[in-house]
Amino acid sequence: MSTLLKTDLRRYFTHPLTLAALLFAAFLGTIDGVRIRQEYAFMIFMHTQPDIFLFLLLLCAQAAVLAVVISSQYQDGIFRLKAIAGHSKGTVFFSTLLSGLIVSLLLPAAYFLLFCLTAHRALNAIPLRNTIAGGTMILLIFQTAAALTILFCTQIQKRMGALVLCTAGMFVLFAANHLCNYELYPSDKMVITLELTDDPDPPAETVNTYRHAVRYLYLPASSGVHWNQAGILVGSDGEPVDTDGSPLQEQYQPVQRVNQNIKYIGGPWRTFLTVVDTLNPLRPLNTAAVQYRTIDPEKSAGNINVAYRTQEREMLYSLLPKYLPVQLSAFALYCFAGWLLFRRKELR
Amino acid sequence: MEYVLTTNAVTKRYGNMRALDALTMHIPKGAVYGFVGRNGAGKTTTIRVICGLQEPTEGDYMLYGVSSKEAAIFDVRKRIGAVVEKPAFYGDLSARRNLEMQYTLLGLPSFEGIDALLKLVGLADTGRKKARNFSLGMKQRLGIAMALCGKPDFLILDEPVNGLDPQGIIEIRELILRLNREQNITVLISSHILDELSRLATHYGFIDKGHLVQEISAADLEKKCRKYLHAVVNDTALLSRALEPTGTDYEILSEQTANLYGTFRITELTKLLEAEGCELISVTEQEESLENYFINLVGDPQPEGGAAK
Repeated sequence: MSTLLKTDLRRYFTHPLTLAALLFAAFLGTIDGVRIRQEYAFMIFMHTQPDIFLFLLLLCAQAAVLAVVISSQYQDGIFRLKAIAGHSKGTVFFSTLLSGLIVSLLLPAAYFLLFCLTAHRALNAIPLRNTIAGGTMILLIFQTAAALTILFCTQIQKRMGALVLCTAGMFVLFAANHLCNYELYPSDKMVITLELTDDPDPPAETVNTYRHAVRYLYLPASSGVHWNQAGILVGSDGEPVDTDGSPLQEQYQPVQRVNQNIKYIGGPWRTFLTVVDTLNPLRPLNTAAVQYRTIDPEKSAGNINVAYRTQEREMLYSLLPKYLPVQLSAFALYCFAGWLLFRRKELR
Repeated sequence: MEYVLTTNAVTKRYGNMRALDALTMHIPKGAVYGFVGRNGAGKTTTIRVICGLQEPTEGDYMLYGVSSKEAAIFDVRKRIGAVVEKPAFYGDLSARRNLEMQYTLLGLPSFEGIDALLKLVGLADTGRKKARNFSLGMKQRLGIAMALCGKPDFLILDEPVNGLDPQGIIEIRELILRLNREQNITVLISSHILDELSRLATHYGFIDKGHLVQEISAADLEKKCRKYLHAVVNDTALLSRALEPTGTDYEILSEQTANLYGTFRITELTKLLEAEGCELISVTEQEESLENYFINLVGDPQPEGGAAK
């Protein structure tokens, strides 16, 4: 088993697609980090639509790598070589699974490494508990997606067929999942901006572009929360409310809809535009750091409404216990099904 | 005789079709075993079963004395090197990198010996050229090199000269002979190119419709196939008396017919027989080729698609 695993890992790391996918993951991490620094410099939570879209790209990259490397083993006769070298189908499958999982998890790892390196100053206020919870969920998603991809790859003998099916399948699955969850957030399209009013002397170049932080509201429409004529977030009784729907505390200014730009509406597409916008060379890249130094998100909450941070963190903590058994069960099911099917497969 | 492989009534069924039908074969140690059969006769299926790529439906086989039903068969298979159907290698890697991967797969402690192996198969000068860009002959040789990693005792080659040009065929033939003679590797070669096999094989196994029709050594086959004169004489006892002092190899078939092996001048033969009072009534020269022998053994060729591959 160890020689098989060694061979499989060696194969991944000599395959140009693996290296390209790792570079792609690092690139996504970098641009996401830059985006966080610029747009969310004072908002220290990562669970946003842009992240999900980038993860979708990463999952597709993961599916592509696994599909090409694994199905090539049929086409090149490598599974045959392994069997002739005295390895049982079971060990061949589990080595394929294990090596695939290792490589799959390296992609988000590369993403986060570069993300953290790029955006560390904007992220250093995140509690460890939050990082662990978020990281665990992401790893669970990636490992389950990898197991599902490997299940299919070990059945498809044509490289191109596996590549198309797995990559497109992953895209559709994840997009469908996103759309299902989208219904949970009927107020998702309400784009608000929070004025950074305690910025005493913002650098001139940041005034227009970076004074606002765009966030989504996680409030069901049934809660009665809505924007009034003046663009203030109010409850069903017309009184200003916080982003979590609770009565607004005195020290906070009302949540105000300053700008609702149609191009920013609609999950992945909005994210794509944000990412593209991040890459705009005309945009000054160093202004976010200035902004961050001016505003400490934890200490100088003052006039900044930071309630959403707690709300989102709590939501994540509550999701994890539900997510963990579901994801682990799905993972175990995919592995078991993959093993059963592979045992019946003739090694070509 | 010590056998590397013996199969015991191995049967492989696909639904109602029998790809292998109680196949029993014996491959002696140090032999070059020519596995002869038409397309679809079951050669590749047999090889796939031996290599562990397929499980037999019934029967078993012994590889180096270990039954296929024992768990130890996986260890014994490490003594095999095989090229089944088409050579297996990583297309986007060079010949050397491919061998390094195979060394890793076999758990060999170092890459020592790769250069010698590349030289042996004539791929030492391929540098960083990707294997997928090799010629057919080079791919075949790379496949054999992959099979030779870990110094196997038993090499299995499935149709190794298929699609090769004459030069490629000669190269593969010489390589196989060298491996057999210099490194004492037992070789199983399946082929339907009988002329090529006859230049290599020390033993033959003829398979038809999944059943092994006959096993025979090359020496015995040569005896059966060599040129001879079929003579009709008045009395074979007189013929025997005339030929005995000359050391001629002959076979008495009846009181009036005999086979005389070797090459003869008819005039001299007639004189020799006359001296003993033996009258030569008629004589015909005959020769049975391996192909004729095979056809006689398995019957006239049928359209392809009898047994499955």
